[in-house]
Amino acid sequence: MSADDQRLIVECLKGNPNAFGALVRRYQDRLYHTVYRLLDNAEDAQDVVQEVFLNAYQSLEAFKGDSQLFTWLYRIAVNAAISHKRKQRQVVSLDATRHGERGAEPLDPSVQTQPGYALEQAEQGQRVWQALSRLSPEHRAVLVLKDMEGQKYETMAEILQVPIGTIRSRLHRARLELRALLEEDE
Amino acid sequence: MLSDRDREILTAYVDGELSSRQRRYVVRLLHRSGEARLLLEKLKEDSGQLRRLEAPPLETDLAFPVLRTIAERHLTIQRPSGGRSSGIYPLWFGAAVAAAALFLIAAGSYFFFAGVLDREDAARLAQTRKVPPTPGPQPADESPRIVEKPKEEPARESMPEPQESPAQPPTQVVQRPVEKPVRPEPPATKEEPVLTAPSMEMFKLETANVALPVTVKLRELNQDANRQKLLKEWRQDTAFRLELPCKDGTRAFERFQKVWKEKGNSLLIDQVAQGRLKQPRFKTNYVVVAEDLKPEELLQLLHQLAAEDKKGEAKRPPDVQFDALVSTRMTKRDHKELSELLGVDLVAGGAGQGGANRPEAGKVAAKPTEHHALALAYNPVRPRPGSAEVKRFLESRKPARPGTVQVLLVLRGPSS
Repeated sequence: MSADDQRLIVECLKGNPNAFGALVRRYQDRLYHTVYRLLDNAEDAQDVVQEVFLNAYQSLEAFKGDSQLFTWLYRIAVNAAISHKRKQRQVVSLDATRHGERGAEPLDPSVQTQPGYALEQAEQGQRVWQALSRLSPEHRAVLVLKDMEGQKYETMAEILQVPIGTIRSRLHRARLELRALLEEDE
Repeated sequence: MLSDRDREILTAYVDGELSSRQRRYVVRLLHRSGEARLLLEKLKEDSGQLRRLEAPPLETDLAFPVLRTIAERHLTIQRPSGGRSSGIYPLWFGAAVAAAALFLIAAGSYFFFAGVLDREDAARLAQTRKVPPTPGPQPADESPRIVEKPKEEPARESMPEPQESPAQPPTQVVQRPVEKPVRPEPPATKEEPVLTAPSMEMFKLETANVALPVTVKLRELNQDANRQKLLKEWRQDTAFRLELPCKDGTRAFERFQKVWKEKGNSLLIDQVAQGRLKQPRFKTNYVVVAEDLKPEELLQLLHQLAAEDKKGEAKRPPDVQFDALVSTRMTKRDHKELSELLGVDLVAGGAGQGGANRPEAGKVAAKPTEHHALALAYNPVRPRPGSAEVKRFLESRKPARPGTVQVLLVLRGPSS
């Protein structure tokens, strides 16, 4: 754990909430990107990340410093996102789509107004997002962590709290499933 | 055909997590198997595509809302518990105490109620078989008597007499007091607890006025019966929710927009809705808020929309968007939803439709005027009120003319 993180945590434990604000600013972007990739929804991702920080704040005393603070936060965030996705699957969205098309999101204009974003993602990216969204939350999580976040098996195992062998087999199944879904679409 | 093991090692190769020995195996596998080469190529391609997928940047600083929530909810850093197993009592002790307490309560209840019921039964029995205080010979009457003397009295004489004390009067036949026929006793003389449920409040039936939705096929609006049905309905109230299920929300909205503007009306389109209109591949539902419409004007508008939609039949493939129209009177829930969509309570607002000065329905409207409407992307779960267009719409509102209606028109595409 970095000295800065350690200092900020000590400050938090002494009762200085601004120190926690600094920790939030330090990690919010990375966590948000990961959660967004798991949820594919900007607002949900923001909500989940916010809840993650609140949970982390309450459990800060339990953080022993054995791992990086980010890994610890990451673990909370990924599990929260997977849990959110599971719940979401049970809800029929009013604005959902059919035929595997992506959902109503992004309603967020920020996504749409990024120059070139829609164009670049429109064709191939769209298909990959669609396929990704059809995977189970666990399979999606390992693909996001591995390919999009570039995490190692070991870190992934720590984040998802499963053995390395499970990560490896999940990735294997996730890749083949993604391939099959993309082939369906081709 | 690749074995599962080969496939797994190929996916791990893509992950970049193989030992040098495993990598050498993959190289040999790729050398001898075209299928392996093809699969690896595809897997690498998929992985590359995943890497290229971008997430939008986080536009707000979460530190502020997080700290605010911590303050609002009075969240504190929780001290980790020392572990339950390290306590004075083992874990099973609590369960055992709870089970014992439950058993004692159950046993106590059983004995208590059993005792009470026994006493009550005994008292009731004694009451019914109570012997009168003067058991002397009863005057003869016509009612049947039960005599204690057994029927085999003659035979009894031959049996040895029981030894009796001299002081005891000679044995005589004692007649049992006559048991009167059982009659219900008046409550004033005997108050016996009656086990019944407490008196229940009578369920009072009330009449509910339920306005049923009116459903017509949009293309059948040229039929007089349908037109009259809708006009009659729209003259009954001042605010209506019209649901127009459609095949594609964006295409349907464009069709509506065309018809609306052809009538010389203005339409303010919210920024989010504008964005969605530029992204037709995203399925979107739209809602249009229009006010100050006479029922006849509304009917004419929908009729024209039906005519416009019918033109789509000639296209190849056919491009027909609408089917049925469902009109319901706006409920409190609809009003609430509208308020959430706009970010303002129109009813409380005063001006325009549904305001405090809303004219009486059914009266003849004044001269025709240009109508303003507001279009929003319909997402009642996450409304985004307060856009510039919403503000402009609210500012342009005027007191409604008599006999006009407020309309919440929902263009709803198919959901999954």
